[in-house]
Amino acid sequence: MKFDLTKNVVLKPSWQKRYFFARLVLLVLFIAVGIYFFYRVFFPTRDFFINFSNLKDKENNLEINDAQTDKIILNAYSSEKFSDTKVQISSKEDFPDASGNIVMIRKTYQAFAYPAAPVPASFPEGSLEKNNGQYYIVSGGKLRRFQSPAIATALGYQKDAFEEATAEELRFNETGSNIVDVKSFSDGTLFLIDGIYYQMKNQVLNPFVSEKAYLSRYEKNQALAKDKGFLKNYAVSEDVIGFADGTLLSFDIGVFVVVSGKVMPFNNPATFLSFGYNWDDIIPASEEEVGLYGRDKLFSSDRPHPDGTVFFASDLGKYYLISSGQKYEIKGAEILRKYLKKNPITVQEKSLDFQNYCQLKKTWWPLNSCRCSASIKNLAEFFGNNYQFETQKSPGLTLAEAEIKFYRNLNWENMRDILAEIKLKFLANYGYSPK
Amino acid sequence: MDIHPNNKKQLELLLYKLLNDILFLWIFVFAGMLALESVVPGFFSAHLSFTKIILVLFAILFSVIWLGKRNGIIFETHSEKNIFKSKGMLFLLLASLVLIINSLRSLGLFETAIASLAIFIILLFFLKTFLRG
Repeated sequence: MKFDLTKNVVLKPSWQKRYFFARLVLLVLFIAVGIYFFYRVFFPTRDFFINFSNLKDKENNLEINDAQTDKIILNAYSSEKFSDTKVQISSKEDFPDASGNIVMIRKTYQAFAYPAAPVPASFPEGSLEKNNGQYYIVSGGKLRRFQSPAIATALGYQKDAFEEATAEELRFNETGSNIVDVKSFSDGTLFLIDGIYYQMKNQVLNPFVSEKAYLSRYEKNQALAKDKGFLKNYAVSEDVIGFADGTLLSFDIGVFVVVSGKVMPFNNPATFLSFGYNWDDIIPASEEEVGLYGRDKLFSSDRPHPDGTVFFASDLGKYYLISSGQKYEIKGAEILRKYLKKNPITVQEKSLDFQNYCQLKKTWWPLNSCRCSASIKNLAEFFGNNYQFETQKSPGLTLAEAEIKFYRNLNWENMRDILAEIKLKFLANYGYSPK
Repeated sequence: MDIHPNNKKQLELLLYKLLNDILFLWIFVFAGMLALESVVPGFFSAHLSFTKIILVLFAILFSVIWLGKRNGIIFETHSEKNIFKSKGMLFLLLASLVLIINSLRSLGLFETAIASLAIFIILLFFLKTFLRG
């Protein structure tokens, strides 16, 4: 080998020979590791496992949802695309195995798979709406009508603060009593006093931590402007209102999401993107704004989207709001406008259909185990990071372990797909996103 | 097992030479990964850790220095040659320039101006140091 980086260091001839072979081995090893690395990048595999005897086992990276009496759902989280999957389910000794059971597979977002609420989404607290010459405010979740437009004016409301809503949209909130008093304000009313936004709750004024926090929920013109003297009429709470749930914040070098009064940092950019979030939706926050919240664990891929998230089912053109473990359809442009403070998470309604399946067959090893494999290539077209495997609870079935393996087969078709993916990422990096 | 002092010396020299080769390959990998990361961000870095690559790089570097010092090997500076006339150095400079321009493309005009000025000053400093050497 002519190429020598250390010509000044001369070895004895016998050692020079050894050096030559050692270099050869090094080169072969280097090429082999390189090939292996690219193979793993282009044809990745992911293993998921759960030990049912010890559900708190730290090695478990597969989640089980057996809340329903007739079926078991196994959840695996990955934003990668795979071509095939292998499922292995082991039963406890002396118990019937799962052979013959059908395993159905789908890929979606965990929160999008929440049960659909029986009613559509309604206007949020404090919304000011108008319809057919009548003026309304949402207070305590109920739609309250101002007895006359004059009462709204007497309370200090500007007419342009009320947004036009359809009669159907207004029906989605329960109807409350009419507002007849011009001296007191309903709960939910928003105020702007001396540069600080407040919201009335149980006749106490709750301040917002900042204008940005207020704007994550409401619009500027919704707040009634009052002078400082107004604060003498009401008690001011020490509880500060922060950003709306689901708001994306950045502080220092971290990106956080607000979840039920806490901020959870994303562990890496890939996790952020795996939730379908958009970098443009991040609000730069101050130390005070972030410090208001307690910090929680990392927001990892196995978490559902928080309350307040809006999903857009692109195949049906429908919008959904996530709240308290349910999915509310948003019907009406005005209600949608209230909740759409950032880009919705695009998803497909079709992703909820179990598109793929396989039938478990008994294996000779491990004992009492069943296995099946299925192609999941078609799932690549669906948005989501949650692969769900559903199987029925057959009588007497007592599970011991479950193992799910995802992989991308080594073939020209998959190679072409990955090269196309690289090309798209390359073009997107230089601002040429495909239409 | 006792090793003859002569053999021990030869073994250490062999290790030194091999570590230099490993260092070269490791820098090659690092540069390659940086180039890939700049054109397809996140695609390859999702499968490896740049922190670990850098830590291993330093570990190799320190091992080379330690073995070199132990065996009294003087670092060859090539001071008699003008390294800026070599094809390898020209290629490295060109590749660095492409990477720098690529990383600046997403910045605004003001940030680009500041970053370019900083790069220019650093390059000037390096040039002066090398030429003095």
